[in-house]
Amino acid sequence: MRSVNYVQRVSLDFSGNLFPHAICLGDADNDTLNELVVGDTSGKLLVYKNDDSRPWITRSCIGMVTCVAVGDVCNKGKNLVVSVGAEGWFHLFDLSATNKGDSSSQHEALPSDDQRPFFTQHIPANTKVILISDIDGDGRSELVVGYTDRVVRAFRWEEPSDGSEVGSGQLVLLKKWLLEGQVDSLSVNPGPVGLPELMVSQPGCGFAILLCSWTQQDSSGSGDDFPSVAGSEGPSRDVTLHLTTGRIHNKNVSTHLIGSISKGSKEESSKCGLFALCTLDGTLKLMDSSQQLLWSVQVDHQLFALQKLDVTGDGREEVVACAWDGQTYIIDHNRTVVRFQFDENVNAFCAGQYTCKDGVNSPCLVYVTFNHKIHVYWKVQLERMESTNLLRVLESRPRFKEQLRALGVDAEDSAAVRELVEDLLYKNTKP
Amino acid sequence: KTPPKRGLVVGITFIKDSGDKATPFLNIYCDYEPGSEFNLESIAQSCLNLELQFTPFQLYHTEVQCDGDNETVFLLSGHDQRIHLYKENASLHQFEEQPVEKLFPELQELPSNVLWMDMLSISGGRRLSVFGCENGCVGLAVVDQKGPEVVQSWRAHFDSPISSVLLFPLSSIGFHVSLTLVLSSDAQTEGYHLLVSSTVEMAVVYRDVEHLGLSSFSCLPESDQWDVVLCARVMDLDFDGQREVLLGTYGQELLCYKYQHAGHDKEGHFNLQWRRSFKSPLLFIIYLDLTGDGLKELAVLTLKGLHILQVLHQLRGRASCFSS
Repeated sequence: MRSVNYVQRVSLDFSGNLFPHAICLGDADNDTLNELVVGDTSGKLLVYKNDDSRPWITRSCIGMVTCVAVGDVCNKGKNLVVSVGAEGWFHLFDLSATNKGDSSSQHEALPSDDQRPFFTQHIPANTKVILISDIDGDGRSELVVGYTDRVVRAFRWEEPSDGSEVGSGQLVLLKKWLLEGQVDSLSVNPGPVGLPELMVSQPGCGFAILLCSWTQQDSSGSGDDFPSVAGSEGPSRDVTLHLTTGRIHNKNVSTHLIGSISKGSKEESSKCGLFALCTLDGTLKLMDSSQQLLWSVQVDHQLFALQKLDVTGDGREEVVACAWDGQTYIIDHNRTVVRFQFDENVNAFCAGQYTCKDGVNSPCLVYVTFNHKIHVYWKVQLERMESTNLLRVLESRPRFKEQLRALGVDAEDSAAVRELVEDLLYKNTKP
Repeated sequence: KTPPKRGLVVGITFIKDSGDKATPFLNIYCDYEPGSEFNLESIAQSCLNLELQFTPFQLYHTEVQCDGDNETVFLLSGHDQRIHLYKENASLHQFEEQPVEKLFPELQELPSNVLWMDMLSISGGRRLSVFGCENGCVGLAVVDQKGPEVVQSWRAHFDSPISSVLLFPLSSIGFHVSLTLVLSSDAQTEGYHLLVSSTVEMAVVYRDVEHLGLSSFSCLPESDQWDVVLCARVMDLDFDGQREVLLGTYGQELLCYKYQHAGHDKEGHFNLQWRRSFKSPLLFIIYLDLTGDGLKELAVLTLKGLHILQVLHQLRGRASCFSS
């Protein structure tokens, strides 16, 4: 197993404490460059930009922030920052309006009107994880919230048809699912025919696919009574639980899941998507939506976060899993493993594109430590996953064997070929 | 490493902390039984254990001519201001300490504790020998191996302890030169250079030390920026026929310098070509083929592990990093 050391990093100041899902990377201010959004337990929402160790923007929320996300939740073609608190306070922040010109004065600015969220709503409490994505295939984003009481709810942003006023809309509950086990992650993965499937992780390296029944009903019910109907009779029927086979020691072990792992090209990725699972007892699996297992890896570290990131730059995303002790595994589709040991214990981890240096997005690994620091490794790109061998590269060239024959070297005799290579590269060619 | 017998001898110095008093040892492992080279247990049994009366600094090995034969000997510098010679006693098949003056007349009456030394055989049965001391003194000597006697010697003083010295030929001609070939053939045309790194000052390269001694030198700019330079190696990394100087520092940086020619009548200078950060201090650099494909890898030993850098296939000169 190859291991790498990343050294190029920036350290951001972060004095609070946070929930593992209260961190994300995304384009919060719609400038095509990604920011780091973090929410802490005291209700502060911090947005970091570039390699500045101080937050670019600070906002206040009500209660403990358990999850943050960046996405076009209102379907207006504009990213908003979403923060959800444990007590059920849902906040929307529009950071695009924030003038970059007076970013220097931001730090001293007193809480004013534009510091407040532009929308606040109370939704059921005990939130744990959120997802902004199109889950029913209608091309519009929905908001999915996972709860600590094994419930998942889907919401949609709806505005009165005449209301052009900003913030006049609200979240409408689409559906509530009740699951058997704890939900640690939510993800969307393209199904075998290309329709998105909402997946949630289930303990013991399992997962469940949640059906969006409203697509069948053609939204006949009015917005007000529909949620109660779905909540009362829907739940168990619309959940298909899948348990993966294999070496599972503990049926209740916490499990994470990530879907829509890019296979390289858009056409390939849109059908029969790849998703990965990891457990706290060290099992990692890559599967596709037809339930076929691509690989399984067992490690002896407690994996608590699962992300995807294209570290090789070939368009295919690698699976990135992080353990509490900082051990990070990067695994490609062919099961080539690269690991990286982060030196400290990890409070929260995320991976993705972030604009740290030079004003361009680059793949980054973000570690939140217990020592009031967030470390962003901004140069994590690898030329390739595995080590190489010049002989193997040469053998893949069609004319290599021909040339060897012309030189009178037996291509099968690796020692002779090696000697030839060595002579050519390092020996003095006498004039 | 003792032709014609062609065996491998490994020497290790270590300090064994047995309670109140730490004792340094030198262990020498030989493979006297043919065929058991990779049997660690059998090698461990043929180990020669020598207790040292001094703290060891650098264990070095070099070839010497004695009685017409070439023989590899160990040289060990210690905190007793001396360099100790360990030579194989042919009849006993064992290494034993012998007086250093007989074979290395340049290594007696040292000004201070020697921290690092290097030797190079050059044409005419001579040898270049250099040592760097704790008090900043660098001693260079040209020695005639027959005799042996010191032909010429130079001294230079730095302000801080010398962390490493390295003798190397710098090929400035446009074809590839390998070290082994240079040693045996007509390399005197380009001369040998001496790299000296000290703990505080910039690393310096003395030009053509065989003829010019320590009179002509150029500095490696910025090499004092990343703490002490702990190791150095010279190799042609980018296959352009010209060698680069690699320095490994305690400040976790690997620095690559390239010699830039200025013109016909002017002296060239060294430029920092690239640098690369590591996670822990660099201790040693070696360039060898580890993958068995004829292409050499750069192995860098750091305080926390061994890193292996592979050359990219595009041969851009920069190595891509992976470690184990």
